Amino acid sequence: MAVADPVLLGATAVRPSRVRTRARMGMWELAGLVMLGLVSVIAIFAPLLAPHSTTQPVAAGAFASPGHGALLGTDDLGRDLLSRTLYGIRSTWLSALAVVGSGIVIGTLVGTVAATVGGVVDMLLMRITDLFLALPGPVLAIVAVVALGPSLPHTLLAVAAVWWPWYARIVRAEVRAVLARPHVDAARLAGTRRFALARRHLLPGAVPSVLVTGSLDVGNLVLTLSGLSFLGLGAPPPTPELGAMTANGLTYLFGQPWVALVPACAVFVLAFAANLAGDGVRDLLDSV
Amino acid sequence: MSKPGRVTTRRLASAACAAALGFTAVACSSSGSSPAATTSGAPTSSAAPVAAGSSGTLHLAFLSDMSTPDPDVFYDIEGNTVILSAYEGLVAYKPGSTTIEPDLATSYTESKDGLTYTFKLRHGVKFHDGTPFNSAAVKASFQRRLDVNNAPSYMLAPVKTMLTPDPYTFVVKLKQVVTPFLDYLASSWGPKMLSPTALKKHGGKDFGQTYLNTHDIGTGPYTLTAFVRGDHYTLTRFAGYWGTPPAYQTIDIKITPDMNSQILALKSGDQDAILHSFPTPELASVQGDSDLKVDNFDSYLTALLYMNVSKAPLSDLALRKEIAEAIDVPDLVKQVYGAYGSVAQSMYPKGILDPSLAPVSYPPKAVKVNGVKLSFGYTADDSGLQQRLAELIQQKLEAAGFKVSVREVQNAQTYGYPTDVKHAPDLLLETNTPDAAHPDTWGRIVWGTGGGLNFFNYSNPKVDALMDKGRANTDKAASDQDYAKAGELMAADYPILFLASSQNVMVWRSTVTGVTFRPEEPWTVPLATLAGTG
Repeated sequence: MAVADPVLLGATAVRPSRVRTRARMGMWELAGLVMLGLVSVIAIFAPLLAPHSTTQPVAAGAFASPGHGALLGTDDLGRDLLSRTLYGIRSTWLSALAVVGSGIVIGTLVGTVAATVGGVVDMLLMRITDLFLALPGPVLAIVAVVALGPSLPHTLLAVAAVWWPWYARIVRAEVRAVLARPHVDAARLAGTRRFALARRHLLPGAVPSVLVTGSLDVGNLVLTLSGLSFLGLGAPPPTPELGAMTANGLTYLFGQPWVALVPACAVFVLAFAANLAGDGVRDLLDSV
Repeated sequence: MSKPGRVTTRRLASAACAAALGFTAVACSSSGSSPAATTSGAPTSSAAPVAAGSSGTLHLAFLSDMSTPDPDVFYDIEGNTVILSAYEGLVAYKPGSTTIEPDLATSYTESKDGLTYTFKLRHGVKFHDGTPFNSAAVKASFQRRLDVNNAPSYMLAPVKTMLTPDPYTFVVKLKQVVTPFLDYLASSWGPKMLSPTALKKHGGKDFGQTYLNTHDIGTGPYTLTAFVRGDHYTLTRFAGYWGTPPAYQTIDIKITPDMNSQILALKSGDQDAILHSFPTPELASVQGDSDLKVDNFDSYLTALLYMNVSKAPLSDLALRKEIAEAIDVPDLVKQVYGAYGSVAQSMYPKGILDPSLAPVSYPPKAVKVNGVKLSFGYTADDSGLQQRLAELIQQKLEAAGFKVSVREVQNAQTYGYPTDVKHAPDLLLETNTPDAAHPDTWGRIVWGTGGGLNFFNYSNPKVDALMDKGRANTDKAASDQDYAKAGELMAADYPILFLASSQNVMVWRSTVTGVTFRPEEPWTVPLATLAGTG
C-alpha cells in the first residue's frame, strides 16, 4: 500500500547505517558505555552497595584517612565517604537523567507542535523558547531556591525549566526537514490524521538527533547540578550530594584532602563516563 | 565568623539594646574611686628592631572588607585591627586581661556616687593631621559619636554633660550610675579620639562620615594611607606618634576572601599571618613547618544555641531541656574544637564574671522523642567550624528522634528574627562576643528583653530587674552577684544553650615577634608591638 511504503523505506534505510556505525565505534566509546552501565548500576543499587549510614558516624571517627577504618576515609563528622559518595552518585546521576528526560519530552512536544502546526502557533512557541533560552540556568536555580527553599526537587525544577528549549529547536528543525519529504506528503494524501502523522512519520526522523544531543548533555548536566550543589543550591545537609560534599571538604584541603577529593573524583568520573558514552551513542545513531 | 565578617559579625542591634537599656534612674551607691593609675606622658623609645624580614612591611589579609574605618560607625569584628592602630581612646584594656589602663588619659577618677568621671589627659599627643590632643578634642570626639548616632553610640547615651575645666582635664557627668561606663570607654568599639580640626574641615552634612569611610583622623601609631575597598588597605607608621614607635613602616592588608588562598599565601611567605578562622583540623599541616607558628589565645567568643521560645514546639520548656541533654555538649565541643575550645562553664564568657558564681552545664542523657520537626539555622564562618558544629548537632538530634532541617543563614537575616519570630527557625547557632569585659555588655544584649542578640525575644522581667540592679550597683562584688543571679534565672528557662568558649587561633610567620592579644578583641592584633626578626 502506498501508505506503508515510505515507512518501510525508512526502516530499510536505517538498518545498514546502524551496522556501519557500530563498526566505527572506538574502544573509548565502548569503555564509556561500559562505565555508563556501571554508573547506572551503582545509582540504582546504591542503598545495597553502601556499607554504612550516610548520616551517622562510623567507628573510625572524623577525618579517618582512606583505608583506616573506612575504605575511602571519613569526613569532618566521621561519616563514611564511600557510602556518601555512592549515594551522591545516585542522586546526581538520576537527577541528570531526569532533567535530560524532561528536556526531551517537553522539547519534543513543543518542537513537533510548532513544526507541524506552523504559522502563528510556530511563531509563538518559538518566541517562548527564545525567552527560556535567555534565562541563565544557575541564576534561575538561585531564585527558585530562595523562593521555594533549598531542596533537590526545587533545583531540578529550575534547571529543567531552562533545559528543554534546545530540544524544542532541534526537534522543530528536524521535523520541518522531514515534512518536506515525499513520504509525508504521501501519508497526508492517504488521509493520515495529524497526530498519527507526527507519531508515525515525523518523530521517528527527529529521534536520533534528540538522543545524540541528550546523551552528550548528560555530562553537562552532571557538572551543572554538581556546580549548583557546590554553591549550596542542592538538597540541604545531611543529604549526600557530590558538589556539596566537595565544597565542605575544601576547608580541609591541605590537611585532609580526601574529604574533598573523593566526591570531586566521583563528579569527574561521572562526567567523563557520560561524555564518552555520549560519543558512543552519537556514533551509533549519527547516520540513522 | 564568616562572609561579610560572617559568624561573629556583630550587630547593629545593640543600638536597639541601648534603647532597651532605658537608663532608668536607679539608686546611686557609692564606691571607691577606680585606680588612679598614672603613666608617664613621655614615651620611652625601646629598641624594637625595625622589620628586616619583610623589608619593613607586614602583610596581613582580611577575609572580607571591613564595613567602614569610621570608629563611630564600625561595629564589626573584621577590621578592628585597622581601627585600633589608627585610633586610640582615653582608656584601654591591658593586653591579655580585663584590667582597664589609661591610654590617651594618664589617669582617671570616679566620684563616690559613680556619676562623675574625671580624666587627666596625656600631654604631647598629636593627631595624624598635626592637631594637638586636648580636652576640647575629647569633647568634640564624644559629641561626634552622639551626633552620628549609629549603633555604638549607645555607649555615650548615659552622658549628661561634658566639661573641659582645662586643656588637659576632661570631666563627664552621667545621668545615672552605669557601672560598665569605663568598660564602654575601653571597648574596641568604644569612643575614639578624632581630630577636631579635621572634623570641622571634612564634616559636611554627615559629621565627616564620607571622609572617614576612606581616611583616618586619629592619634594611633599608624595612619590609613590607602583604603581600596575589595582590594587592600595600607597603614603607614605615624612619625609623630606619642608612644613607642612601631617597628613596621607599613602594614599592607589584602582582602582575600578565600581561606585556602590565605593558607597558600602564608606558606609561600606572601602573607605574614592568618588572624582568625584557620580551620583547626588543618593546623596539623602547618605545625611541622618551622617557618610558621601557631598562637592560641583565650577569647570571649562563645558558641550559642538559641531556641525559639516564642513558637511551638520549643515554647515547651521540657522539650528545650531534652535538646540540651540530647546534643551531648561535652562530646560536641571535644569533636569540633579539640584543643582549641572548651565547654562553656558559665553563661558569661570566661573572664568577665567568675564562672563559679553562675555555672552552666548540660549533662548528656539518652533522649527519645518521636519525630519532632525542627528547623535549624546557623551563621557560617570560613573555618568550617560553625557548619561542622551545626551538622553535628543535627546528627545528634536526629539520633534522638528529632527531624532536623539545617541551613546556613546570613547575619543580616538573623537581625530580622525578633520582628518576625514566628517565621524564624526553631534553633539558631551563632558565635558571638561581648562589647566589653563587663557582664552587662553580654547579658543585656543576649538575653535581656529587647537585647540586640536576643533573637527569639526571650523575656523574663525578673532577669531584667536583676541586671538593672547590677548595673546600678557600684560595689563590684554585689553587682557581680546580681548578674550571676540573673544568669542563673535565665539559664533555668533554657532559652539559649551556652556551648563553648573558643580560642582565637592565629598562625604567623615565625619571623614576626611581639604578638599580643586582648580577649575582648577577637580577630584583632595590636600592630604597634609587632616586629620582624628577619
